[in-house]
Amino acid sequence: MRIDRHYVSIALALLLAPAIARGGGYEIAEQGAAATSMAGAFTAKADDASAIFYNAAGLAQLRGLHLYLGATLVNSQVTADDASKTFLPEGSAKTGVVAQVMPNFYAAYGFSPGITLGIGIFSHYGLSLSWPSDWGGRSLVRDVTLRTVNISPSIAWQVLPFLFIGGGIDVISGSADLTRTMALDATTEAELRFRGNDTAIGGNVGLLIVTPRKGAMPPIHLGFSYRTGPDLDFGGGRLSISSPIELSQVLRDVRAAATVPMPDRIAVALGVRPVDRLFLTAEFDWVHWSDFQSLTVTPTGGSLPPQTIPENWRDGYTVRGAGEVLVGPVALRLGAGFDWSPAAESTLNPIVPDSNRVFVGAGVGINLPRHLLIDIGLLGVDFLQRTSTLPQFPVEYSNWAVLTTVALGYRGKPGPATHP
Amino acid sequence: MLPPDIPRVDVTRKVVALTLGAAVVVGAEALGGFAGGCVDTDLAEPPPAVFALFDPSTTPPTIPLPNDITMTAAQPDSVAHSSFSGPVDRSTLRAGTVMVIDATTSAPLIMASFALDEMATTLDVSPPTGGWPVGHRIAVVVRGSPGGLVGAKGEPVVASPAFYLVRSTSPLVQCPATGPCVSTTPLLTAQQAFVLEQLRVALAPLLDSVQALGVPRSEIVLAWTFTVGPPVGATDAGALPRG
Repeated sequence: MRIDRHYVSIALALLLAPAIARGGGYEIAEQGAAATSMAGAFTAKADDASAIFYNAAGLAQLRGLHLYLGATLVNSQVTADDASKTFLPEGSAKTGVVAQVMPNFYAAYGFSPGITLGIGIFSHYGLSLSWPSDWGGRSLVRDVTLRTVNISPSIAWQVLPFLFIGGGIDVISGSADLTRTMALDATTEAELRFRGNDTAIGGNVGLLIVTPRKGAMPPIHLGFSYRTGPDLDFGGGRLSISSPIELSQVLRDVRAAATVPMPDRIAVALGVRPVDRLFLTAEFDWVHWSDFQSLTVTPTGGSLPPQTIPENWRDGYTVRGAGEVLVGPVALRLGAGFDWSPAAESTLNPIVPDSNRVFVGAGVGINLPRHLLIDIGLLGVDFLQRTSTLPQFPVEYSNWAVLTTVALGYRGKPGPATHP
Repeated sequence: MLPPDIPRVDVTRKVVALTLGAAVVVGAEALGGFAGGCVDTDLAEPPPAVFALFDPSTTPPTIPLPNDITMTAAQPDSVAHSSFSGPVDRSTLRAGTVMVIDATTSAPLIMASFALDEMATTLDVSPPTGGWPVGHRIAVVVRGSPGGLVGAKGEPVVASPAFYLVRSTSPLVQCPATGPCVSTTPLLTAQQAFVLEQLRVALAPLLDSVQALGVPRSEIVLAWTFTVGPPVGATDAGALPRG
């Protein structure tokens, strides 16, 4: 098949597009269209190739070749309000409306003895905010981008007819780009921009138990997944400083270091299939956000001291619930969840203006000829308003996001415990 | 137990082929682009510039001489010197780029002369015939780029970091009613800021008056004063040699 360079460029650009803070903190929990339609409550189901992200054990349910190519269009915007107009002279400031496409791709092959190998490419953590250049919070942040790309080879094994285990390695390539200003005196500012790259190795394990139907007892799904979160250490980063030329010798580009934690994540889920065409599930996620105590950019030369932004995050929790019903060739999905923000009000800042959020997802999946399928979903996120008590910038943040997701898949054979 | 089989809707063969093709293309390119999402971390060199040297915190202080900072009076025949970090374009040394003012009378000393040394890195300011007026305070103001001096290679001549702060119109320290003074700039410690603040306050009237003459404050790259004492014996180094 001839691959046109134009389409190759587009595909590459899509993969490298900066992601948007969507999950708790800067986590992106939407890594599959079917799962997103179910508000991410997929750990106990994990019956397509996106199981590589949600629960690697679920891969062992698959037989033959499975491909899953998805893209999620994210629209979001953050608003900061200051009724007193003390910190925002105009009373309000908004980020640009973000409209980014986040792709993901999974491939798996299930061998008949119950061993499945797979590989997934996705972006688990990301952030992209661009505030107005002259806004009142520019000394904290003007632009911030965090990009990560996971490549996750995985393996899963059906140990017993009802027991599946799996795991994988996460090779995470990340880059960070943070721009803020620093007052040099009452009238002059310098622009500080930190940029860094790093690659880290993590891993994940998963467990899935699917009991068979016995009489009146429907099949029960128990899912568990754990994904390690290696820190991204941007040790060889660059701190570039745009300042008046008079200060160019003392405020010159220097090497700098910063660490951004990619927190550990545990998901525990329960599912039940009361009738063959209906699946219901509930899930609890824990994310070790208390790893994120501060964001410090440490110059390794030059005259500037380390720049520290306190965060003091606590661990994050999310509850999700979802259902899927099969109607002819169509799977109808609905889900909802609530996420307790890990960000502390006392340090809440415009880098990650996080808040508790309610999210509702809905979607359909359609089986096509030749083992093809298409999943389409929509997820609306309502970020609850939140007021920061950060002394130097106590403003109120509000936020919204809408995610539209589509995936095309090829499914060799359904395995045990999967719906067709 | 397997759920019942699901009937499938019909689509064209072309759609099927495109679906698989897209998956292959994006998957392959994703792998290829894995390392390509990096941001640029190469360090950039600062823009070229010639600095009018001034840093009272060095040992010995890097300051023009003679200078009131040293608390030593100048001799009437002293030649004042200031240095630059690189050669200056001689053609830009003209009336208006170096101003010599009798700060005691606020009158310009038009008979004072100035010149660059052989390397064009030191500015010599010579007294008028008969010497500097004894007992008077003399001020020298150097105008840099773009309206004044320019570097030999066309670089801008700019103030040193310390003088950039000294010419500021805002205080460099804040001294609350209780507690120690704090620096208002992250570039200076409180102690450094306190020292430069004394100089800033002392030079502010001079810089204001030069600015009133139409010279942008941002182009004043150096200014200093020295006080002329009575002639003394040859062993009294009122006018310090060029160093």
